[in-house]
Amino acid sequence: MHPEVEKTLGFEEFTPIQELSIPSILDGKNCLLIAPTGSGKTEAAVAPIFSMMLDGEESKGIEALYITPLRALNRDILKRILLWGEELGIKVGVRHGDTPQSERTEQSRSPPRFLITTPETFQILMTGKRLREHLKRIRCVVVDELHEFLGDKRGSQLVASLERLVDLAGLDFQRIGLSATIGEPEKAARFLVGVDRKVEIIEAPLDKGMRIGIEHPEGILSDAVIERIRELVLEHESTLIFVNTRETAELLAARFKILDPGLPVGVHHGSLSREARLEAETRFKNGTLKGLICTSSMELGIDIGSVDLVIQYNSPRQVTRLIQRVGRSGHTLDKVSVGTIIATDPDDIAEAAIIVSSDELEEIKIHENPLDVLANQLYGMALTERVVSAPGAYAALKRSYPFRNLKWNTLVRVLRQLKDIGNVWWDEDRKEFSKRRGVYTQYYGNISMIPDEKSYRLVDITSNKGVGTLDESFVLGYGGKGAPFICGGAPWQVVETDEEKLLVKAAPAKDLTGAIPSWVGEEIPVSFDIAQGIGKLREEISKLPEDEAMEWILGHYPIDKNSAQALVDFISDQKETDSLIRAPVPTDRVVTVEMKGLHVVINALFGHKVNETLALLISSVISTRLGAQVLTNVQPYRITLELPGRIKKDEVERTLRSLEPKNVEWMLTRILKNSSAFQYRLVQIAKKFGFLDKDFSRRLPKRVLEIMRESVMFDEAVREVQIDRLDAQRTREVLKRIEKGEIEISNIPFISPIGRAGERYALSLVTPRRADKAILEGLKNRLMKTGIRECCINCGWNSRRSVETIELRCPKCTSQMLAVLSPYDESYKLLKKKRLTREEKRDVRKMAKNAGLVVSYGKKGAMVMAGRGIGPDTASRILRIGKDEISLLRDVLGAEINYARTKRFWD
Amino acid sequence: METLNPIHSKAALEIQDVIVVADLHLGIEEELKRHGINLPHQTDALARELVELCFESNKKKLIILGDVKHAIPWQTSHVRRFFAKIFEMAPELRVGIIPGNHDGNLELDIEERIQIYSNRGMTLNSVGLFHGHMYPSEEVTRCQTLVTGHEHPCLKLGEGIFERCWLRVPFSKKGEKWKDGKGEVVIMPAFNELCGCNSLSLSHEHYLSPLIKRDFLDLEKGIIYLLDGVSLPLREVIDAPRS
Repeated sequence: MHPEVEKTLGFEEFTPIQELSIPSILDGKNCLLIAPTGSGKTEAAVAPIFSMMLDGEESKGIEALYITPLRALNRDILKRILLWGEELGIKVGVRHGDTPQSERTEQSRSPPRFLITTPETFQILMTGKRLREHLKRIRCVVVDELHEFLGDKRGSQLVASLERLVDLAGLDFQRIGLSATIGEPEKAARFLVGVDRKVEIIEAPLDKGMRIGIEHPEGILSDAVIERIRELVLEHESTLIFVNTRETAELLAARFKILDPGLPVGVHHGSLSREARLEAETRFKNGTLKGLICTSSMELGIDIGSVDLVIQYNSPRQVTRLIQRVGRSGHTLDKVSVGTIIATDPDDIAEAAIIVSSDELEEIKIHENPLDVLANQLYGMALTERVVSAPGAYAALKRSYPFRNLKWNTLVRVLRQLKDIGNVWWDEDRKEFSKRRGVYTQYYGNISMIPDEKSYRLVDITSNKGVGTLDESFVLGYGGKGAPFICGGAPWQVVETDEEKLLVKAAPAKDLTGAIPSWVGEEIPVSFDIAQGIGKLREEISKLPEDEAMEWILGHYPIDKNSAQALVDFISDQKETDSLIRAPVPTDRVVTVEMKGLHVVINALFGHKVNETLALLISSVISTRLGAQVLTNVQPYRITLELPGRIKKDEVERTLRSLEPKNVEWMLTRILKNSSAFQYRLVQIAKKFGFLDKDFSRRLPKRVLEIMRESVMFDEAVREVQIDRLDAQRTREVLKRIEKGEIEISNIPFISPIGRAGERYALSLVTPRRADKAILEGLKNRLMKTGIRECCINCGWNSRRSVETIELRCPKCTSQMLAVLSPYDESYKLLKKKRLTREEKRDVRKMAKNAGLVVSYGKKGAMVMAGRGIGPDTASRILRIGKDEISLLRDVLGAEINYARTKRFWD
Repeated sequence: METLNPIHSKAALEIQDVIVVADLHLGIEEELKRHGINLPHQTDALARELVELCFESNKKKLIILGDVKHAIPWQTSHVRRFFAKIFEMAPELRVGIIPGNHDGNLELDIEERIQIYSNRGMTLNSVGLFHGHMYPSEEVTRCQTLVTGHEHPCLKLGEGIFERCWLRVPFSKKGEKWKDGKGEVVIMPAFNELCGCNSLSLSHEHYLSPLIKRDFLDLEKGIIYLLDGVSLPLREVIDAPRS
């Protein structure tokens, strides 16, 4: 390496990753560097590049790109790269969304040799006329924080556009990826370099040990938990307290303020303003704060100095996440990383135990053939060339890993959609496409593949400083004037909400019990393997007597006595159910289906994605059958259903057994077509395609939705949800195992203790095809107010009234045999007639049947018979004991619709 | 009384040997575009749907009850394209248009298969047809049953969920005085599903048509019919609490 570089960067001793990687990088090889944060990866990549620049000739263009996620841009390391460049006489530039115009102009006039940028800005660089010229000189591209991009559409977009850069430069450049510890490094490396290129994976040995303990201070967010965290913070120099959601971060921060207002603990998460985050980082780094509550916003290599303890509040949910988070402590290489997991309930403890003891990192799910990214890249191509050859574009895209299996037909379908939208011309015969006017706004307005979340800026009215952002749903649902809430760990009160400017003005307040804002964020999924691991753990515990079980757990897992006791108690409670029927302990091989009234719990240890898939399938079958919505909640260890009406006690089990493995995918597609929750995803994708404008926020006409559901955009939404939320393949495997009897299903007529453990979670809706609550209410009122003639079969008494006010006993003879007839029906006169014709006899029998239904069902019976075209025969089919009102009304509705279709639309 | 027969699950009416539809709003895609929805043209699909409807019910005449086109005051290429498509598929079909408020400058003079009626309506025996944006002619007023469009009635089923519906309302005492007799008005759902929806109300000020605005109809006695035949009293679906 060039000696000047070594001197300037101040290498005295190389870290292991530097030692291993620098020679290969100097050789010009494609490399993937995998090492924990703080191990000198950035220097390992940058130093050889600088060295090669000093050795080579200056080429008047951008020779190296350093691409890093936006939220990692303000790191010290990047500032240092600028300084080093200055000392070495290498021009280094930074360019992102907020780079002032003057600097941009300067950059395109005289380009830096080394440019630090974000993936989004890179997309724009690729279309600038002069910048494109400069990029032709590209020799090397560094992708920083590669692990952030792998399972994300932004990543697919980035590597696809790197292929466009190859075509632009006319040659292959060197690629260097920097990643934290991940599972499947081979896949990540392929992702970085694409197909048909060599790549070297360089992984730093994990010689810095990890010491992780699991604790269970009694109670959920009780003082015991807060007290224990406080103790740990005070015992250490500086502590990072990781939580899984922004809400939890705020909740913990507020609790600390109540318990010990003087405790120097700050809060840091992605919805706080940049200033607030920087301030927290600085204060933590200089020791003013001893503890920092944070979310994954801290996982990126932000410099926060040395940390001697990482606390993880609740299970980290993933092995990868645990390693990346705990890896933040003991920053210098020879120190051991120390972490404490504070687990709050038996599920949480078991999950943490399995994750800590697992050495298998989660698999990486890459978005393959994401069609909105494809659309975006095609737009990008159309922008920069007069006419684009589709086969050329196809070849370039297919070199990238995510699009390596792209089908020509798919490309054509996307091009047709873009043509329909009107942003490109597409000549199918010549296989060429070119831009139309709309493409500019579309491309520049939709550079980012992150869905747009409408959020409000929160401003402190006393200082006019930004505090953070709040989600629209929280602001509109809760944030009326004067409403108290917590943000950044401090209490606020809403002063004014400006819906035009998306602004909430608030004043500092005193009330620490205000609402905790909720932010939209996808749940971190627990994998199938972890969930199954918990099943095996449960089985082990259940096989042993209590004291031996305690010993076994303590011998196998780094867990405190309290935690072990909680696990053992959890299983014992299940075994000692004081009922005639014993509920088995649900394990990896035992599923229990538990039902009490309208409440169903399916204990299934299959992880988030499989359970989500099963929940969707089961609830859709049941909601279609009942014709009303089923509420579901999905956890990695159980599925909860709230039914709209009664079903047979083995119906859920039968439904589960009736799901055919080979039909899973087909069923999912069909269900998603009717799902209203899915619509949100579809809208986001339609925006990326340009079918909907970026700021579109109106109601979609039904017809437009139907058109969208038949397009490639819908295909993309289905593909995306199958990566992010569902797992059809694993679900198929699970169903096969059920078929073969390898997984047992046990039906239980009550909710077992383990089934009840999930009760505190909120339910989400699975809507039936028609949201018809309003119709049913209207129908009920109409039926109840229908004018009828009530007549007594016994004595012939009759009287006009409405269904609502019918008598249940004849006022004259007290018989219950009362028929309800249409006011125009004159057959009641037959009751007093002596000799009846055959037809008249039939009418009387019909009346008797009518009265019989009123005897059995009372007003309900009369109500059903007031339906259009519903006689006693149809009514007796509709009326059944124990049917709830919604199902009953829905069946009346069905009979009326049938009547309108086959007989008469209106009278 | 002539039988008015709504075609199940369509926003179309059979009267004798005629199919009646209202509110095509051809070219509404251009407006949606301004609102950020870049929808491909639907004109051909609409034409096809209408022709199929006429074939299926074996009818040779189609009457469009106003608002053939969407843009005011000019005409977009959609209208010509629409009729070209219609006659390409069904050269025998005869078309009548009762102009609506969107139909100024409707330039169809070249096409003799299209008959344009007065914007104050026409009658089919005892049924009076007019668009609804102005008062009907005396001849139409005398009919027992009046059919109009213009309102795009829809039932709100939940936040952002609407379904098109028919609205049948008898004349009020005031209306009976004005028309000199009893009768009812049938308000048709818009044929083009891309049209905006007007939710229902019991207050006459809420509506667009002068007949309702002037309180000539007894909304309390109105009945709505969803396209599949579900019928509900208007007053029941207005106050029904939503959740």
